[in-house]
Amino acid sequence: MLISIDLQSDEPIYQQLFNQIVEGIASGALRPGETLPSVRSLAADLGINLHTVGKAYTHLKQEGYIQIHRQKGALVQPGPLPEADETFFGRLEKRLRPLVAEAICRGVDEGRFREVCGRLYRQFGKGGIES
Amino acid sequence: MSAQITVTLLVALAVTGFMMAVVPYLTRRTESFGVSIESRHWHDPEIRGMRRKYALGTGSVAVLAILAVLIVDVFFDAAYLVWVLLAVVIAMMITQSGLYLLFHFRMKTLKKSRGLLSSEQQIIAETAFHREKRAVSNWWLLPHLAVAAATAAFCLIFYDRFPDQLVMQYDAQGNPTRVVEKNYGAVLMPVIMQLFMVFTFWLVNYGIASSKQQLDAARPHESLRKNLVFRRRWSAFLLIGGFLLVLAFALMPLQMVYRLDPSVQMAAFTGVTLFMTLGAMILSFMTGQGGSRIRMRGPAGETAAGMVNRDDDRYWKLGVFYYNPEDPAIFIEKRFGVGWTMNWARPAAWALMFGPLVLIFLVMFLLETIFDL
Repeated sequence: MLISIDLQSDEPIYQQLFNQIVEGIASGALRPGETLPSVRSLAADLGINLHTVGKAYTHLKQEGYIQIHRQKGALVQPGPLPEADETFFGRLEKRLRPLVAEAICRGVDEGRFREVCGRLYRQFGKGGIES
Repeated sequence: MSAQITVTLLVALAVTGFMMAVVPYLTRRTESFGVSIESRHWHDPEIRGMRRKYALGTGSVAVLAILAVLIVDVFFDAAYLVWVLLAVVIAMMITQSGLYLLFHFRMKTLKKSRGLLSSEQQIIAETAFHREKRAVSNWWLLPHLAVAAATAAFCLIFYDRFPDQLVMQYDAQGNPTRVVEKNYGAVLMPVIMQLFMVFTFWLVNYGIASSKQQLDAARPHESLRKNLVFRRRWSAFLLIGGFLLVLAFALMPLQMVYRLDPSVQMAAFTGVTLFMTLGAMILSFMTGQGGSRIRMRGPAGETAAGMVNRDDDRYWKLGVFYYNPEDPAIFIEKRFGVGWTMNWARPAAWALMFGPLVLIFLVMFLLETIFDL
């Protein structure tokens, strides 16, 4: 999978990395058990600080999206992906809240908002995981 | 000086001069005189003019240099030739650097005034790149090692048949200039050289495989495929040339034991040198830097993404020396030329640069003290 980082973006680089790898897993571009480049080689390829990539990997590991082995290096979670538990839904709501608020301010009704969500779901579905 | 050497010198001079002159045509299209630009500006008349002027200037000095060597060789004492050669090589290098710097600074000004890199910038990397075959396997160094082992075996088995006096050095006419009493260190010298070379080839091959992935953000998939071909071809070329070089060194003990004419040895080294320089020249034209000259289409329907690579000119001192403390990469493609350079902000780069030299001196010193060479 191609990772692209936008240096002009306000979003921190480690966050962009995190998001893209999760997107890759969601779309199927990254297969379960697939090896990922080592922290050092990904940082070298992108020309960014080791710690930035390290931070993204640690975060991904904590969330259960990847595994990090001493021998095999980093790989996409081969087993079941983390469940959507209460903490996840709590976080989801917290993150969606300001977006819903903004949408309301701009006169976007619930139907229109759901439409956008549905389209995003279908976009990931193209990658292989059926929605 | 023998005619063979003069011809070799002239060919080497011509190839070097030619390679110096065409460098701007071999770089990636996102780089011009060490300044990063968008590839769509590559054919800009002003930038094309710079390439032409640079090639003409460097090329004319090379032609003058060849003429000077020819004239001295034909009309004057051959003893002057070494000095003339030194002078013309320095003149060629000064011209090249001078013209390079001139156009480098012109490019910088031009980039600023015309905004030659203005599209949205991105850095990209393929997560599967490390799983691709990026160089010929290091197992292909086994034949080299086998030749070195055979050479060592030959030296030890036929130790008695080596002459009591060993010639360690010849001058250009093929006359011995340094002779030592026979001892194991001197007899095994070619094997030590072979092992040192195998180590160097292993290091360079490792560098080719592990150097930074540099994709073109405008056409990532296409540039990735080209880059893989580029790496594999250079890696294979290196290992083949290296094998010939190791073979040439295997001739040294054969020559001593069977009292072959020194010209056989000389011819072998000349042949290998010509193969390496001409091969590098042809390969440079076939691949271009990073694979930029390889004709290959990306996966069907890859259209230009409208993105460009990050502008990292500030890390390229004078457009030639890469110094980026943030970047953990050690090996990186050159900007002006075909091949690789290193990230000088990494101590490992300096160790790799001077480590082999230190190793050579150490081996030499040990041999001298132990075997009294």
